Amino acid sequence: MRRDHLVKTILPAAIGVFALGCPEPTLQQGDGSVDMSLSIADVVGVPNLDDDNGDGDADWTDDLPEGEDDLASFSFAEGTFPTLRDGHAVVFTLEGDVDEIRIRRGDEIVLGDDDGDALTAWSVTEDPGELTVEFAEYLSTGTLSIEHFRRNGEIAHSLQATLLASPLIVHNHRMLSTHVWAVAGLFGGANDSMIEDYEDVLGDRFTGVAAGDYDHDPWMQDEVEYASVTGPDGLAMEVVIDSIRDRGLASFAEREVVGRDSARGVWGRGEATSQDSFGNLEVTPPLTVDGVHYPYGRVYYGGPGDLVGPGDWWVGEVHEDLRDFLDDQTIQAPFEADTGWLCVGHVDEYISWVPDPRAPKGFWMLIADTVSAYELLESMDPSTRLPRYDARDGHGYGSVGEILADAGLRRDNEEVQEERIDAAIELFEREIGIDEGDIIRVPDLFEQVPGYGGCYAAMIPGMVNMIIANFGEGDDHLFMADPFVRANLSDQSSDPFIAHMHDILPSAYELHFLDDWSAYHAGLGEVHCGTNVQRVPAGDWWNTGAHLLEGVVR
Amino acid sequence: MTRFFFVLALLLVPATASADARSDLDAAFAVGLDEHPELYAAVAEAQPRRTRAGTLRFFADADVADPAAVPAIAHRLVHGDDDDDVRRALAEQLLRVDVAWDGLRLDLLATDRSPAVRAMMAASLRFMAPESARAGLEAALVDAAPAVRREAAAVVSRRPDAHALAPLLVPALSDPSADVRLAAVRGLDAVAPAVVAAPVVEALLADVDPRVARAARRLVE
Repeated sequence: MRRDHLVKTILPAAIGVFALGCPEPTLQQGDGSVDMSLSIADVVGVPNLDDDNGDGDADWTDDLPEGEDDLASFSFAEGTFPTLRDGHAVVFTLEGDVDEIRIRRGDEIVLGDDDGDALTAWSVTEDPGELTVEFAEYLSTGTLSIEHFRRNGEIAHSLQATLLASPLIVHNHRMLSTHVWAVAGLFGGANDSMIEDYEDVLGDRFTGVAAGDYDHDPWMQDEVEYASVTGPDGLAMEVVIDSIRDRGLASFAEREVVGRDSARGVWGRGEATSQDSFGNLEVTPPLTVDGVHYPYGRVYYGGPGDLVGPGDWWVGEVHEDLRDFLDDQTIQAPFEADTGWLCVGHVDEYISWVPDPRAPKGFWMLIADTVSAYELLESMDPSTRLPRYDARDGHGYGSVGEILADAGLRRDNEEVQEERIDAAIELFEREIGIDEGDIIRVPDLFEQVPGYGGCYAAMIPGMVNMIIANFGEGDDHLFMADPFVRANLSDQSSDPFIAHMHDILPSAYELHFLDDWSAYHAGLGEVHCGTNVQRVPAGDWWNTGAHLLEGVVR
Repeated sequence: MTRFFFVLALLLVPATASADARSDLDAAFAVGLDEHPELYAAVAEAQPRRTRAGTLRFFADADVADPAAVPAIAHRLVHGDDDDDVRRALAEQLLRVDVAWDGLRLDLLATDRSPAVRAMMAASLRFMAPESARAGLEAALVDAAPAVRREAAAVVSRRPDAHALAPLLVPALSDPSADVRLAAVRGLDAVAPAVVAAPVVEALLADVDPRVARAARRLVE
């Protein structure tokens, strides 16, 4: 007889009858050392998407593989079922995503998915001891009803428990850094200086993967986005969101990052647009908007705006599958910014975030600013030569005066400032509640890239397009492009833009200005575009983010 | 209409000028090949890389960034058998590396089969001598390809003599391509907003493309 049939025949007679005299059943997750009293769910876990036994398949598809360490567990407090030996029974009923959940006693699956069959009810006549819960997907949700029947069919106690798998949480800059990645040896050594700077500062916390192994694809930021899932009792798994851009670095995640205790996910398919790169997928720091706290920040990405890009590659939208998935996670409430005016079309080209405990909201929003760029240039001697801006991968300017005399450039930057950058500030004011006191304006000028149909890229290497490598305890670094707004290329101390950055950025960070001109800037990218940072996985979202998941838990 | 524009552009560049430009290139190439055989061989083999935007561009390549390589780049562009995307990148590299060779640029602007190459040549008008620039603008602003007309319209305000050239942009304000109209409005806004007649401004303010209408509002302000 199927167990669910047995239960169905017992329950109707018993429902509605409640008997006194037994202690209330109490469920505790794990060993009970984690306080779940604030949690949105009674049992919280992580989707079992890693590959603990290294067989190439996600563990959910295996039968409890060797080394499995991603199961949540729960049991009942001692004394919860003192009378079971007298012929009482406890009936468990599972509802919800029953094909995405497995509950086991020991190695035996007692509820949920069992090789394609859904076990929805289970009864025991003794304390079942510790049960484990395995989840298949992000935010898999189930309701476990537990009813304690007396021998005569009366219900002594009942309890409902919610089972919930972690949402995927995309990392933000408030999470401490663990490792920094870039591609070394690009184009016969064109980025050697930048790589050496990373190695000098970060030591073994930096890895430069060999360019030859990845078809000299410089754009490390664009290939992967780091995220994580977590649960109580130390459950944590890094998840690499792997882009569908699939250029030279397509195999990076599998070859270098994803191991037995981490996972990889791909959302979307087919031909990618520039917007499917992950310099176009970023996260604000934690913040509160209109009284709603977002403990892991809010996801944002660039969209088409009023679209002025070139060619067929420019479709201008993050793939619908990824947008839908991120929306479904709910905890980071995604929104879209305008990147349609940029030739590359990524949000990292003009916005970033620097955590700072002394900032009004605990962070600064950094945004490109053309007004301060002109102010700085106008403060300089117009005869100042600018060797990097002249020919040879330059922008056609021999001196500061020539930039200032370019009426078209100035007019374009006024439009960019008013219609794009200021509009973005207004968007972020609406979406995340920032105000002028939360903003640091990073000087930059944009120019229309010849032959690209009127869209823009940074003319002065985009310093805002930076890497935040914050390891904590005073070991915090900002890596950004050397702007080279000076005559003596080897003397950064003579660069007024660098001096200005030292003035406006938090002093808690050590600033590093990297030569990204040839290998990145000339390819329409900057330091952030060519680098990626792993961070410490997210924390106790089941407590701190519970209010954002109320619609998820049925 | 498209064919008419292209033929008109061809007529604006005398055949003798074209022949002179190409013979100058061939001569320079022969001399350069003799003086820099390894560099010229490297340029012949060089391949553009994908920018972050996905487009092809020569960057982080010291050989093609060497001014001595300009005749080799131009020769490959004119005589080579590269596909259109690579030819576009070669044309862009000519724009980025060297500001000379006005005659050849004008020749390519008028005669090259690829609109993308002609657009790069139009962009290079920014750096040409005044007389060459004017001739090139007059040709480029009536090119068959909107991309070429757009680049030409965009380049006027970037030049030191922008004010003198600005009247050339007025016809572009009624170009069938919104991108061209936008570039022309921006250019005139930058250097000579007063040359735009009031009825034209009114039409631009009501333009079907919101970018053009916004730019026209800036023109008025």
